[in-house]
Amino acid sequence: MRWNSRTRLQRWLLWLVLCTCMFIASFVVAQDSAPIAPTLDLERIRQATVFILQARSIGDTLDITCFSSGTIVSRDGLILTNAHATIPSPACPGDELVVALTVTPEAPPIPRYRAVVIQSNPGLDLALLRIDRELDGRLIPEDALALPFVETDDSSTVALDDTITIVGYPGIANDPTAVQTATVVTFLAEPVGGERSWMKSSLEIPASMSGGGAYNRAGRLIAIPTTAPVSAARPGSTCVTLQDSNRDNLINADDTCIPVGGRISTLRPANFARPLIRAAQLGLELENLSERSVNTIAAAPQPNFRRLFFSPSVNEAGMPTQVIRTLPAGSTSLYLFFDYAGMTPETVFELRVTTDGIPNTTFSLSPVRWGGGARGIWYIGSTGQPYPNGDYEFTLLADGIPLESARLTVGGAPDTSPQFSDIIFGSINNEGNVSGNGFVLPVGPIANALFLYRNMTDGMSWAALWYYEGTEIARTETTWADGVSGTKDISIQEPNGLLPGTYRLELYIDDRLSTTADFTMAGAQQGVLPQVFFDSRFTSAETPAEAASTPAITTFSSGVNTTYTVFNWRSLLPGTLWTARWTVDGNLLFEQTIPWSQSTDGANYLYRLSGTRGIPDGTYALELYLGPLRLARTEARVGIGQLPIDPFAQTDGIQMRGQILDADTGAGIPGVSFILISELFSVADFLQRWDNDMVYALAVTDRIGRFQIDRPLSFDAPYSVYIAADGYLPIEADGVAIAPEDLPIDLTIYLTRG
Amino acid sequence: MTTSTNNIPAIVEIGRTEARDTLRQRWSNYFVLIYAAVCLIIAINLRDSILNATVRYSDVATGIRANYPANWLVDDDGDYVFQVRDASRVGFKTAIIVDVQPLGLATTTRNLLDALSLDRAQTLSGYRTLEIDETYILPDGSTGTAMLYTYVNAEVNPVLQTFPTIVEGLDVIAVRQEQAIIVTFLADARTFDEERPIFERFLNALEF
Repeated sequence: MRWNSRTRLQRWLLWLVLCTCMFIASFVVAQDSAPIAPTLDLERIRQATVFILQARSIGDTLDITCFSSGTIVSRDGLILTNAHATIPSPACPGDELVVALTVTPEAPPIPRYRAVVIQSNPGLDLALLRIDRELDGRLIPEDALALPFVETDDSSTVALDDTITIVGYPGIANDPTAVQTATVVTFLAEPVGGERSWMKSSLEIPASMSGGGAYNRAGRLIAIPTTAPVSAARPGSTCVTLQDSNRDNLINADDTCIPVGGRISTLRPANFARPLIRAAQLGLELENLSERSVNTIAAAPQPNFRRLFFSPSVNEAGMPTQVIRTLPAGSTSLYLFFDYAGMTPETVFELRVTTDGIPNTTFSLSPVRWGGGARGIWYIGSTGQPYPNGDYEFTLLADGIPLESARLTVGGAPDTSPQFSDIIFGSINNEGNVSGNGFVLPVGPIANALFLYRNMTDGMSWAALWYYEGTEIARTETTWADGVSGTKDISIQEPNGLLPGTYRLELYIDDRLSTTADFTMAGAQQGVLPQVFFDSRFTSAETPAEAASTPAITTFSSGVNTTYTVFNWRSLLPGTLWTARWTVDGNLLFEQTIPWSQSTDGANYLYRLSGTRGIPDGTYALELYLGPLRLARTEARVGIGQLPIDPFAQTDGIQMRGQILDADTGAGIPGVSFILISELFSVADFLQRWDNDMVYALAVTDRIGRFQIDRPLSFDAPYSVYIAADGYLPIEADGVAIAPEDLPIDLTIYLTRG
Repeated sequence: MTTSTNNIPAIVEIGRTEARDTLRQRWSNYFVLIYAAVCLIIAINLRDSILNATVRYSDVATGIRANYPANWLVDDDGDYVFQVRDASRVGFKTAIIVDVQPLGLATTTRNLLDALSLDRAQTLSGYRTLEIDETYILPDGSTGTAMLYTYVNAEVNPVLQTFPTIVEGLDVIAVRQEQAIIVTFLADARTFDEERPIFERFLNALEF
């Protein structure tokens, strides 16, 4: 009996403990998932989120090779996603892209369409797809689709601690869209995108959500979750086998393994994607005719990193201001610099940061595709987020393999040791001062460097080492005799002229690297800026060969299909990184940073800009850069010189959907037309003419009577509605205005038989 | 009521005497019948005139004039001369499309039909040509070509749950001065024959 009582008591206690645990757990879960911002049209966002399967066609079957999430960014079926899972590569060798959509809320996606890549930037790991076929391969006519889509927003307006909502598919097509709310914890900088190359979210999400979307409170796309799983062929990769790809009736290790990643918190800001979307919506295609024949990637050596060091800041040329070994307490800015070689666009790059041995996800970079060239100098770091005190270790990985690491201590007082910093390069002018733009010098016999020094003591040993294309060409080792602090200039001279190319200066104090910077020598002397690119012009021609000899054209007529852009160059060493930026009406259209592949001097570098529906009216410009410096610019007008406005390109407004039911039976009526009449007309006007030009949108109900207007309704515009169905009394209403505070409208309408 | 004489029961029939209608009543009856018949005829005529009411359409550029059914939605913004469709119809919206295509010197109507079939097979699910009649008599007595075909129509909005509809289509092609006028009639295959008179009336009134 006593035993029974004790058992009952134990049972009650157990229940009590369980209930308490469940209560605490539910509280913790509720705390973790902060409420979704009320202005988000989550249903629309989830409908616009797609699951993309890359597949390889073998005979009449498709084998899945890679997958990612994606987001529809235009009503006619443009999808923004990652490049690594869509562009064919050794890691993702598929040749077909299948798009699966969320058809039923809270249900996994259903394959509906096929798509092709129409714009991409592998360095940024962004790709833009266009839905072009039904799943069965039938072509979809242009403008036939009216899909739910989202708009991008200016990601430069996102601030630290802003709340974001991340949407994507957490599994391999087995789950509905997942919605996660997080905050922005930091921005990571890289040379490819400046201070906001990456956003970091407070929440780690599954890697399969890569390619999806992160939204601000207004429900606009401001970033793309991005990670690239390490290729299944590499050690340390994780992958899943889904299909019997070798047709041996077994699914095992011999079948194709689809690479998957872990959990990620890295987001690519949407501003990098906007040029791709702009070019696609305008139907523009840019071909670099001079690079086509040499665009082959030689077999690269294994990736390697060396010369890792830290700098508290980066100058405008992407160079470190100084080299540090400790960082004072309260610092908010730190950059890791390193030299790299053997990197390819396929290489998966990762940075892991630990603080006192504990992984620090805030400053780490999830595995992503390499965004730089094959070799050079690179940095990654952040500004604005305080670095807590502690011992930091930064480890660089390539393809999942840790290669190099560097340590740094944060905390304590500012460093008062002797220091060089802030090197800039130029030429000595007539007054004896160093002049120039700082980082790109015209080819000549001398190059000067100006730098700051502080806390120096006369008699200290210091050294200046000059390198040309990675080879040491000059060294000065002497004792310091210039006082405690100030500026100093040094130079390198070559009576026969310094060769064009990339130079590096390293300054040491007591055999310790104190600061370093690279500069480029290219072009001829011409004022402050060297003349590297010249005679750039737009022209028109029947063939590329003719374009080289046709005169410059500054104004093209509307509807022109093709234009060429030509420029000449001098004293530019092959391998030097240069950038071509195309803009339309001042907005970036294309940007390409590549190593120079032509001879040192030459003429008629050629681009072809063409439009599938003709080049839209606008003012087009080509800008040519070396590093941060714009060295040449040419522009031309097409038509009126201003882009047309696309009324379908915006999602501002309210979404309208609903269900039409039979008043007698309560059943949905299929096939009923819901006609939304433009705010300029009344129902009476419409019934007089029945003109499609008066119709703002027309929707037809599905099998359960549901309909969806495929265009957002403008705020406060007095629309009219007419619902007509044979066998039922029509319904009409004028002055249907919607206020901004209205949530997505979901109507229920009853029709009476008559 | 029964009475008896000599205990023999007798039957007396009591009934209403059939009164003869007066002349006025008879005429009243005739007028009612005539009035009802006239009303019925007027109603039928009204219904027919409403159902068969048409609206004039003319396109100056192509010289096409047509009378299309009233209360059908007219659209001339597409890659055709114009299209009208019965937006009030429940289910597939019956439509008539008029298009003009240039013909080269060597182009035959058959070439044009093949081109139409190839284009449609690329975009329409289950597209199949059913019948081609190269001796189709046009309303003006000349000979044209007609092509009967079918396909499966599906809602483009992937979020809606819509059953596909089997559509029957009829192209009537007339060649005039190096251009072909293609008049297309599209309807749900289940009601195609029932609605075809609408198309016939449209075709009869078409001027080009």
